[in-house]
Amino acid sequence: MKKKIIWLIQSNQVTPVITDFLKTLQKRLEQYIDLLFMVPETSLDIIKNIKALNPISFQTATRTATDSYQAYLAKRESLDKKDFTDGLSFADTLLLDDLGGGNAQQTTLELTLPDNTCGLILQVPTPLGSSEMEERIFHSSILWAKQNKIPVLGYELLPLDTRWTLAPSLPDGIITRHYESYEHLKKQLSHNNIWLLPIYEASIFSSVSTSFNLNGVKACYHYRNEHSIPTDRTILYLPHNVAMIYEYQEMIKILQPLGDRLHLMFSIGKDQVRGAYSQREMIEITYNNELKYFASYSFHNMNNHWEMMMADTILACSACFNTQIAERNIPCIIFDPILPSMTTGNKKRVSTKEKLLQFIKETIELHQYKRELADILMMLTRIGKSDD
Amino acid sequence: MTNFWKDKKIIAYIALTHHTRFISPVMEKFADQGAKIHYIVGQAERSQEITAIKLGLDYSHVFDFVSDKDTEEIQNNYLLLRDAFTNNLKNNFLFGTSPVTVIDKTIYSTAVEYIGFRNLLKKEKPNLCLALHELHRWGKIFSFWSKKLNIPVITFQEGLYYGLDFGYTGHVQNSTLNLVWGERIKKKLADFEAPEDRIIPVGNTHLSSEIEFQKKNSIRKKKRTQHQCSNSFAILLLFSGEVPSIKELYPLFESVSNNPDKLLFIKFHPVTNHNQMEEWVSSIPDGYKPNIKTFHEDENTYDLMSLSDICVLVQPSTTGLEAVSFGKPLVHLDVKMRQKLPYSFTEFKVAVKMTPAELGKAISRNKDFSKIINKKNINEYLKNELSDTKNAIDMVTDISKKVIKANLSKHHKPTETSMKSDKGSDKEWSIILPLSNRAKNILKQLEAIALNSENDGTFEVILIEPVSISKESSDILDSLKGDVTRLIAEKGLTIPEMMNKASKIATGKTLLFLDKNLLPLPKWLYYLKKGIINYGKNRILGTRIIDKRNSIVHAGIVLDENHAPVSVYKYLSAEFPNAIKERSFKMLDHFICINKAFFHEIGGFWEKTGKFAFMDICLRADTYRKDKDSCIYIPDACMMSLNESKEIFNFNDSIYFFGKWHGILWENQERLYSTDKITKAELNAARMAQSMETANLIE
Repeated sequence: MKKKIIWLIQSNQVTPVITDFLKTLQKRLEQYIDLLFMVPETSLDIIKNIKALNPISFQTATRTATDSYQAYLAKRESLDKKDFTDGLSFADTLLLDDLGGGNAQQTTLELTLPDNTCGLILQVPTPLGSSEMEERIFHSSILWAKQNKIPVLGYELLPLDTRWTLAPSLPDGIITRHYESYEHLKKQLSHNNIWLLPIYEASIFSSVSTSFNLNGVKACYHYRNEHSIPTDRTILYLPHNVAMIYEYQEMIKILQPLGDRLHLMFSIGKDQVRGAYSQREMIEITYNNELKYFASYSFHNMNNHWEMMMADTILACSACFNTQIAERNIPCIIFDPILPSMTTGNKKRVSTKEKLLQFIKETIELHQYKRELADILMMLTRIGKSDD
Repeated sequence: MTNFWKDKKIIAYIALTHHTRFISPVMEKFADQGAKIHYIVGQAERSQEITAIKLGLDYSHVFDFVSDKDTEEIQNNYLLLRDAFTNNLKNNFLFGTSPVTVIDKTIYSTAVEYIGFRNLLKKEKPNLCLALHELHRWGKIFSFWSKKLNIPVITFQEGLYYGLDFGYTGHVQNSTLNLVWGERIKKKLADFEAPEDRIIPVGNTHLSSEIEFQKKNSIRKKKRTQHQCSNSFAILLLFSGEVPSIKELYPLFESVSNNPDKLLFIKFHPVTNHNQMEEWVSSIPDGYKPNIKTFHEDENTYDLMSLSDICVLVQPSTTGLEAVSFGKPLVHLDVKMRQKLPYSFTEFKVAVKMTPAELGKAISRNKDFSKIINKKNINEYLKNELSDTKNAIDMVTDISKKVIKANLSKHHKPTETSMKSDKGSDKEWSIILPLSNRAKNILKQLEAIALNSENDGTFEVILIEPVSISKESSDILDSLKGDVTRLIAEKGLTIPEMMNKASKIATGKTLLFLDKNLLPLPKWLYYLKKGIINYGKNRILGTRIIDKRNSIVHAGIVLDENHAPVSVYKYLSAEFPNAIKERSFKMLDHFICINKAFFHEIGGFWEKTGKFAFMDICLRADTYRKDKDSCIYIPDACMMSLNESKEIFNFNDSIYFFGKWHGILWENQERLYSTDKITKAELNAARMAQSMETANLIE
């Protein structure tokens, strides 16, 4: 029997692109996992927008107690012997005012655990962006999962590299979009269940993601299969241009020592011909000696810009149309010994071999942290509770 | 004459505007007298900066005192907090009233404030700190660091305190003193858990001057003109944080709209959210609107009270007390409210309870509301709620001055002559006891001394007699024979001073100071002598003291969670195993056994300590010896206390003792329980057992 994973969706957590991506993910995994999209009654407004995911709605219940001495004592007991560094107790400091004294509120999910469920995925709320109800459901879901003995993974939609790390500390694992968040949470959380999504998947979980990102992720899934690129191999996209055939050759030579860990994606255009040779032929002939040192390479239509999303870094010999498009999502390194070094956002211009190598090494290192969502979910099926 | 207040620095923590009214008059008085004053605000959902800006106060934000150097400490504290809450939130709903991210923002700010308040106090080194209370995190952290840095901190009373008792837990925890409005509050706080000795009723620091201001400036007349109700009957409806259902008020609205000479003024509580108020106001049916005026923070509550002819409440509120003080008839409107509060103006007989329909009817019939309440009830009520209505600020200033003086006082050392013994030491013991006024007790006490002090060394008895004494007591004392000296208490001298006097004429090597009404039990001197041999002469020894029901009165003094001195294992069985362990304590009470030379070396009792004389000398012994463990509890030496009634509270004793030892007195009861390996459940069981044991004992 296929294992199930619940993906909890609330209002403000989906866009048409995210919905489309989740559908793709659902399909991609359908052979192995039943991805169930669930929506609490507090977010019914989104149901019609995510119909394609066949969402299942569920009820919630809220109970409150006011001025209860028992609640106050229970809270106090739960913070017993928890003090600041110089001995002031947390309970004395926070209980009566900030933590509501004897008031208590409990929101529960009226949801029966589907058979064979092995995990719950939900978005991690942040202090500067989530709504109160969304946060209550988040907490209730954590408790519901705990009660049902299934692991919970939180994913980053709003930035998690902030000073506030209480919400990310509640799920059993965290899926991040940004390296900054990944690094930050690695230091802040007491566990190592933190993953970084590859750029093509990370870029989807944003309120401004577009069809470019969606096409990108779909292309990536396709090419990773087609070219049999192992997950640990770093991918560089080279927006090759025949006008700079020599410069690209020089650059590839510099990268040779790292070649066995790299896949090169060459962009090629129909018009990029020189005499009887197509651009692809020119690359294969001219760079024949150099390419032997690289683990793999592939050719991509220069007009399918979204395919760049597969790359860890765009590596060019000059700023160009591709770097302009890519730099919103992907780091771009421009190796140009003539122009001075500079960095603006994702765009980095380097003028020395050493610097170039250093940046590529960093890209390779960073790639080691990245995990596709499907890999993480598959892992969940191996460790999460199920009825099998 | 030098001005005491010159060069004194006072910092007050303030939060919301309507609460600051209790602190700012005191601060202004300090400033008038030459002190340098400054205000501090914290990070909160409701901006505290606005309070200071609106009131034109010289203020800093606590975050101003945090720099890059503090990042690591802040982070450490944040992570301690976060992990505590992570564990809870992962497992239960206890903290479900606030969303996770709100808790997160709160704990982060708290971690910053924790360091910020410390840095502020270390940098500014004020002589005194003021805060309204320590029930919220800012007051708690501010008062905690003040205590850590031995800066006296005085807290006040936020409002009427009509909530459930447990909601005020820790109100007087780190405060040197808590100055409240009246005896009712003192009793309410102390009956639940607050340290009674540190609560002093002084009256309300704001109300009397406000009433005076209103009268002097003819605010009633001005406001009635402004709101065009000079010839109308003005009803002021005061809301609390919780707003009632509007429909319930329709009968009142109806009545007001049918009587053009009646006007209804509705004042929303400052904590009411602006949108909530707008929504409520817009739902008033149009037909009722002409005779209803609504206000939030755009009109002063006191001005409206002056303007009004009757004040109406829907829930207990400080404004009720204020309305009564303003001389306004008070009505408690009987409407459904979510929160039930254990305080009722009608039970205190200073308000009448009416439904909206009843009130509407009474208004239509031009009922004379001024006659609904008995003046005597009002006076009694006000006396209990406000111990002083005129001089509260002066009293606060006076107490503050004494606290600062006590805090700055150096450790008392004897002058060359003041503590020099007049006599040699030809006896082993000098038993010094101040007498009570109860002849029966005096007799029992003297008999016990005579009977239980034989064969363990020579002794004399020095009695300190009250200035006036009953004939019966006098006859007993006249009949005494043997080595007994009678010292008559001198007018103007305190008991500690009289005990010092007694020590000067004492001929014993060791002085035994007893509290009133203590009876030594057999072999007490034998065990004390053994203690002196075991521990040496520069120690203070104490005894186990039990009451007539065989319950512990004293088994060594520890400090409870409010840093207040209490006897460990009080009220448990006299034979409770942990209470009969010989060991050192920071303080002892009711009795001390001390070498005469050592007693004089450390300066004897300090005259201002009053009921804290024994504890004070214990703390001074540690300071003098520059060592811990000056005081040893000898449980085998035992006494019985005949004390039944509470001593009269002299707040000057508290001002001195807690002002002086503010930075020294820290909770240590839990540590002792942990050393004794006793759990709370076991303690409760022992209390219950002893209480059952003694329940039916008849004297």
